[in-house]
Amino acid sequence: MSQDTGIVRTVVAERIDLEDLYVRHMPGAVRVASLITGDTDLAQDIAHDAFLRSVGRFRHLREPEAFEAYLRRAVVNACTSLFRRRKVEAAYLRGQSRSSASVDEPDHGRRDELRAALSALPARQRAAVVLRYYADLSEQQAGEALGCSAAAVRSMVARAMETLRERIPRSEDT
Amino acid sequence: MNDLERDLRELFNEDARRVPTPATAPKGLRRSARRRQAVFGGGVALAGLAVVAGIVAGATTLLSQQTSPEPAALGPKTTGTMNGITITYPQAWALIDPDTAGLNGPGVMSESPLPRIVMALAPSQAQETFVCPGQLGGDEADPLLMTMQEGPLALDGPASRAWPVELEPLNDDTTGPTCYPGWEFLRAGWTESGRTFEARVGFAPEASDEERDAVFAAFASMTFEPSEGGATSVVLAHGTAGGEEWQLIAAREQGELSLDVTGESGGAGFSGFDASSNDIQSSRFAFGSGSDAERVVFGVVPEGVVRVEATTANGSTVSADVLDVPDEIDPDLTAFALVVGPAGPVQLDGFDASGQVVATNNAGAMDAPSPVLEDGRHFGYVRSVDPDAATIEFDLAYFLSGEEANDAYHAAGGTGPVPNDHFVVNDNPMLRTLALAPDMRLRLLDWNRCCETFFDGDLSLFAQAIEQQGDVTDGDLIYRGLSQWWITVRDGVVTQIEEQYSP
Repeated sequence: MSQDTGIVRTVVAERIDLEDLYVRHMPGAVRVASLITGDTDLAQDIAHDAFLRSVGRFRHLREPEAFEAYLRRAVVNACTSLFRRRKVEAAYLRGQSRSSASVDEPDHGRRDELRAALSALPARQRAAVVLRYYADLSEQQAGEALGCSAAAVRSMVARAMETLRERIPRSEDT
Repeated sequence: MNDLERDLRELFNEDARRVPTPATAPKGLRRSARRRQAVFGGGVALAGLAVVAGIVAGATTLLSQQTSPEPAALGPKTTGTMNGITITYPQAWALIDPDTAGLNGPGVMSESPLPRIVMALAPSQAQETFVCPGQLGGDEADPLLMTMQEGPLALDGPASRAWPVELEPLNDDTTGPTCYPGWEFLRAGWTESGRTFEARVGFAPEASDEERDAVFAAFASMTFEPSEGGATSVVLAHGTAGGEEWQLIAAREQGELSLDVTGESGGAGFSGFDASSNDIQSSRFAFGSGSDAERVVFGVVPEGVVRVEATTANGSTVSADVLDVPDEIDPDLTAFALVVGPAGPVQLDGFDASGQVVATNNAGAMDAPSPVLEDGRHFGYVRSVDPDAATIEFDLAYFLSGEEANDAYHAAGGTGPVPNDHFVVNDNPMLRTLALAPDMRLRLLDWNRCCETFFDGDLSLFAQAIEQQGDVTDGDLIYRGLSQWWITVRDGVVTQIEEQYSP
């Protein structure tokens, strides 16, 4: 009987140590959650919970490499669901403003304005921007994380960028 | 790249660098993951097997074939034993060790006593059959498989049926048809020799009548030996809450009793019982959401209690007889489980045989939180406040300073000295519902005279700030919903909440 390399990899991957999986994938998941929610502690909780949920499905992944994308999708879903439930967009601004207050930044004002403008975006638009400009995902990959098409991602990002441009002053060209 | 894109990338990268990230897996990760996996494996399907993909249709034909189990055309048979199960099957087939085949997954599941897959049978050792034969085509993958999972000993319910039993249609369409296109699935659950099993059988459309007969014959041939050392976990009770089926499982791990309520969406565990306590020791888990949500309150009762009654805030009561924990699990403790409404405190009363209340859940604490915090001062985050029920949901964390903070900061990937000379570690997402003392003191920082002056806050305004995750003002006083908190616990209830200054 022929051997399917993808299946072989899956079987091998199922024996990967859980702690190793956690250490490899959690930092990225926490950072993405933090950038979307603006709350580092909440981000840790979201990422931790998403990890446990994803591990439960891990063995069903045909490609072990898909775990990262699966986890990312779980994180993004949790973040956007949270915002829907708790309407904490306003908290994002306040939390970020406070957390940045002690940071010595040369362009402190513009950064805060950008954070504020980001916080005012709808959660899915903000997630799309984070996935595109922080995680460097393609539109297709971001769509997989958000559970929508690449075209929808393009549209969300375009609307988000348009809103951001309207809300913050244009920076000096460098 | 335009200015805005560049600014966004810089902003994100800068903010991301400041996010504390875990450098090591937290303690208890395996147990947490194991519980999730056990729930998944037990509730949705056999763990690790995409048998869940099966959508059974037309199984009537299959069932009728069980009456003529002797295969005719698959050659000589052989008998093998695996994990205490002896089975006779066509010699050309393979009796598969689930651990060797990776069906019990990584260390997570292999450490899990139960549920776990204990045997698999297929025409070959091909793992394709257990992963996704539909993507290989009918000629390359096995046309059938049978798996056996052992679960916690079922004391009642369908899984407690005595052997022999017949395979029945499996109506489960939880996944798409990609991996098992056109397959037919059957299942059976039973208890024999003090062990509880579930078998699942899948047939590809191209499975021949002889192959089907051979599977039924193999299934019917099985005999079972008791597990060494007796049962280590049992299902004490089961039911439906919030539209979801749940089980109460008692297990003995490392000499200690633990109780777990599990359903498909999750569950809660409880251990560390005080055998000498005269109180009802309880925990709970909510299933479902919104108005459909219900909680399963469960725990242990002191000796002499034969019935437990739960009274909720609206005055409604439910009661149930206590559940005997088998001696091999724990010779002393007796458990209970009740389904109550989705929110608010729950008063638990334990009645003896004469109808007298002889135990409560330590009145005042009402629904004993899960898990409780020991008396003392604890740092963390207040996630919600219910002024009417006088409870908070508290996320325990650790506030480190000095070298401890530096060490933790560096372990989390930070470089240089830890900012602001403190570092918060919050690896565990567990929320604890804690009762507030009637005279609980709420001490909030007066940010206008920052930062060592406090004022006594109002619980409703505090609840509003926490709910909004933002600032609520009362004159020039500020209630910060995103702050950090120290709570003081005395006799199981919160006597003080004090705000932690953070720049």
